[in-house]
Amino acid sequence: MNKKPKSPHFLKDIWSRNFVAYLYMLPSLVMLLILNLYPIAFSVGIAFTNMYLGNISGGWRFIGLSNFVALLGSFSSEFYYVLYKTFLFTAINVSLQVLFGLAFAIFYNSKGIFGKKIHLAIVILPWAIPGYISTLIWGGMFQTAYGAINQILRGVGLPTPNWLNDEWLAFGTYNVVNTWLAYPFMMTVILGALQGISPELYESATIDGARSWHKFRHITLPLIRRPLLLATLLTTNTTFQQFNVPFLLNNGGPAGRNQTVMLWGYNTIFGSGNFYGLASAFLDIVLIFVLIIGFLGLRVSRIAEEER
Amino acid sequence: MSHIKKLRQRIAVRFQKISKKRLMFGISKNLLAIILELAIIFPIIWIVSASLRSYNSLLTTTLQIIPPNPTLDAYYWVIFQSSFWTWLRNSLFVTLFTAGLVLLVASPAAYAMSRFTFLAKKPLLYSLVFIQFVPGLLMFIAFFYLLIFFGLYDNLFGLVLIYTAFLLPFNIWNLKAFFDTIPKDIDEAALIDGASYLGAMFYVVFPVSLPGIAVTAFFSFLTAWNEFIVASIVLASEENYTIPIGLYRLNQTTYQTNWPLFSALSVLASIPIVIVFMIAQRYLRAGLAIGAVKG
Amino acid sequence: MADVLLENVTKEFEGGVVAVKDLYLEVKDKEFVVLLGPSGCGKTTTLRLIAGLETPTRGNIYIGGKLVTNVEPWARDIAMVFQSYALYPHMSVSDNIAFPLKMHKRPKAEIQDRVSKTAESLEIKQLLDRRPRQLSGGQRQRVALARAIVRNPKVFLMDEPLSNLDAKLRVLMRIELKKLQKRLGVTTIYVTHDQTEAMTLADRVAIQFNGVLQQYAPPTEIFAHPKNRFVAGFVGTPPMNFIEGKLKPWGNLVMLEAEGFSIMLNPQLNEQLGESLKTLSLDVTYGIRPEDIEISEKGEPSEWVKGEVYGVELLGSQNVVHVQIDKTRIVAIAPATKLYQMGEKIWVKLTSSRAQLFDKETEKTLTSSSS
Repeated sequence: MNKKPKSPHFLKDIWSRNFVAYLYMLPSLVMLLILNLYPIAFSVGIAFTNMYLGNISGGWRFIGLSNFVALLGSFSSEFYYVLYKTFLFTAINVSLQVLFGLAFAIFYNSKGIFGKKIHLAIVILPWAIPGYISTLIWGGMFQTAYGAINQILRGVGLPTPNWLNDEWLAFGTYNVVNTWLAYPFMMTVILGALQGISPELYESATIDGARSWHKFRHITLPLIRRPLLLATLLTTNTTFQQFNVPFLLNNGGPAGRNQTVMLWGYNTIFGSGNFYGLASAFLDIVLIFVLIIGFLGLRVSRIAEEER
Repeated sequence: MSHIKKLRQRIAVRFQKISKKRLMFGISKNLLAIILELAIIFPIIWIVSASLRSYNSLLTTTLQIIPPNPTLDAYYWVIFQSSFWTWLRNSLFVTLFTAGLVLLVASPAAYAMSRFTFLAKKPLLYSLVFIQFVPGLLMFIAFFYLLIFFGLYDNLFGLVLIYTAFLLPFNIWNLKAFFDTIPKDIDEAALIDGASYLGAMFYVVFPVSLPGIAVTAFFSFLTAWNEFIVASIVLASEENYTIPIGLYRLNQTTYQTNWPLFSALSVLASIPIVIVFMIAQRYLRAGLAIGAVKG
Repeated sequence: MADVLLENVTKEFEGGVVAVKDLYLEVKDKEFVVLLGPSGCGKTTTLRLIAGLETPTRGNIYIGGKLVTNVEPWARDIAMVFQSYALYPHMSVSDNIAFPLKMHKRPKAEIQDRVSKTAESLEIKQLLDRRPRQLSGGQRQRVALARAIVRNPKVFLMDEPLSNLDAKLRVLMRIELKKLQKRLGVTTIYVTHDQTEAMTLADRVAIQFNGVLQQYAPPTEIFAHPKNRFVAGFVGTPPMNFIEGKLKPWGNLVMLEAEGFSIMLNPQLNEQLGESLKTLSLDVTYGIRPEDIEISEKGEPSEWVKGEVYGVELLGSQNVVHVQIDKTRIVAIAPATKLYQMGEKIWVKLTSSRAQLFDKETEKTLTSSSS
């Protein structure tokens, strides 16, 4: 220890190691890059070309914004109708999901129900069963001649419409099926939040003279607002991108009148013509909508974070 | 003996405390619950009933919950004469492989994100969230390119890769949040005790995070098992079909002629996953609540 | 030889926070050194620097003569007991203790042998098959200790290991720790904010404040000859009384003129001040410990001052008496037999040979001889 050695502290703090961190993240970064980011970039790029099945190996060219113009240009274009239908579906369906989820959560959280665990297990079944199976079953149930719904209606003498071949009736079936599939998620989240509310709050409110409705408005709602909002945002995203239900029930309604956004994209890619460029442009627009939803979600969670 | 006495006492006490009005209320609540639930699981009842019909019998236009001559013929056909086992084998392969790959890749990444501070950490975290929102179909054309380029089209492993890519962002994020709940103290203790970063991760953090890892594995398994549309696009030859595709095909081909077959397969395909789900649903509820609250 | 040296070590964190400023600290082989100070003074950071969990911004660290500044923690041959014990919750007690040996790839037989011997020496042999969550606080602490000892490291590092124990257990463990360290003869560096712990355990105490080392000396010296006002006030219970005032010569003697009263300085202090009286500023802080103050019903001025009792704490073994003298409040200790009443007028003798004087501005001592 005669000389004072220099201190080139090349060793950084134990948890501030770029190299080690990136090493550990390497496989996932590689996968994400190749299998996630590249496809997204690819899709954005293709949106500006006229690529379709015919010219995929060569012969496609960049056509600038032509795809976007074709989609957005005229208001009577298919695009706007699909968008409108999807928005409508999302709005109605999310509301239904929240309604039922809330109702069921509150109902099953209240006192006086025997065998709560069994009840919950039953009520959660729609979530447990694989979605595509349930959807196919519902499709069978809505079948005009032999489906259960019409069998029941026939039995009581009510009219038995052709559910899946009428545009708006089919739209209604989409809502029934998707609500059935999706409400357990909402219910579970709300139930979890409800169980976090101390019963003392309700007791003191009762002493203060509050009725059920007041208790709901001033205690329950505010306290479950955060998880409720986040779950709603999540399911809005999922519902907006819903594919299985319209596809499996009647492939987008009579003559494609009920195509949702994702179904339209699918049909454009895999249907006749295989217009990849157009589909990409379309999906990129969808992406923008989805990002807006996601961005809202971030704002909500951050605002709620600050509230604390 | 004393058990029954205690039970009797308890019921007596319970009923003592309840007034008539409350009793009515309580009973009607339970009744309502039962009616609701029957309505909800009606599709299940219907399909089970359909699966017990003799196939090749015509469907009726009137409702018959209890089939006229219940038989297990449809089940026999599915188990012994359909490609059920091929589908099962393929589905198992894909799901197990996917769950394994996701765990293998996501765990170290989540560990790094939880413990270390490094360049571009924040943007990376945000992009993980961002990717989850991107509609899958958007990436599809590129997937095709990639699959064909690597020769993995119509290949079960190609499907595994796509599923893994889809599951990675959520699971890295989720695992990271889970690791965050484990204090760095024990990592540091392990480091001082002579483990390197790898040792600290394997011997200490992973074993302690077993519940979180189980959730990741479970979710990956569940997603891959129930996935239909991507599988139907990627897999072309019959010997590669997974259960969802097999089921869809059966539905398409037997729509009005042989509904019981489809019904039987539906029931068979659903039972295992429903059982697993029921077992896991307790933990799901807790996990989701935390996730929802913390965002 | 397991001495530790921190050579002009500075640690600056992101955001400009300087946790440790230019620290020079040497710990002798087999010595028990305590890093003492209030929260945020840099003691834990110093410990982590020695452990290798932080890297110095400037300066070097040596363990056993070897330069370890750029050596990873697992290669430094040290052991650490964390405040939370950091026991591995999924492992049994014996696996916990065995872990360091396992990491260093010792043969199985050796591991078994050393684990059982260590467990026996800490009287936890019967706990070997249990999990940490089944243990009490005191038991967990012993396991943490066992895990640290089992490897025979060069240096023990301890980060407030007793702070999670209840008071009685803490006192017992203190004594045991000291005995253990003496028996094993391992250099130990111990962090705490509890000055009683520091005083009873340490061979030498390093008091830190705001990242700067205030004084580094054996406990008795820190107590009797504090280098500055901070050290004087930090060590000792009840804490030292501080009275501000001006020094005025008074014949052969020196008086301290405080607000509303005067204290005559003990002649010994006079001598210690000596020459410095003429050169230093006369604004001083007078420090006197409660145990060095006398109170009585009778007294006379210049050595005694008149005051009024405004609070009494009956501790059983002694009484703590709070006295108001004009605008100043001081704390004194009286024997348990003497019961003073609130509002009672009494005389206080503040002159003492053990009093300290500090420069009002620099807060440095004017009377203690530097060691």
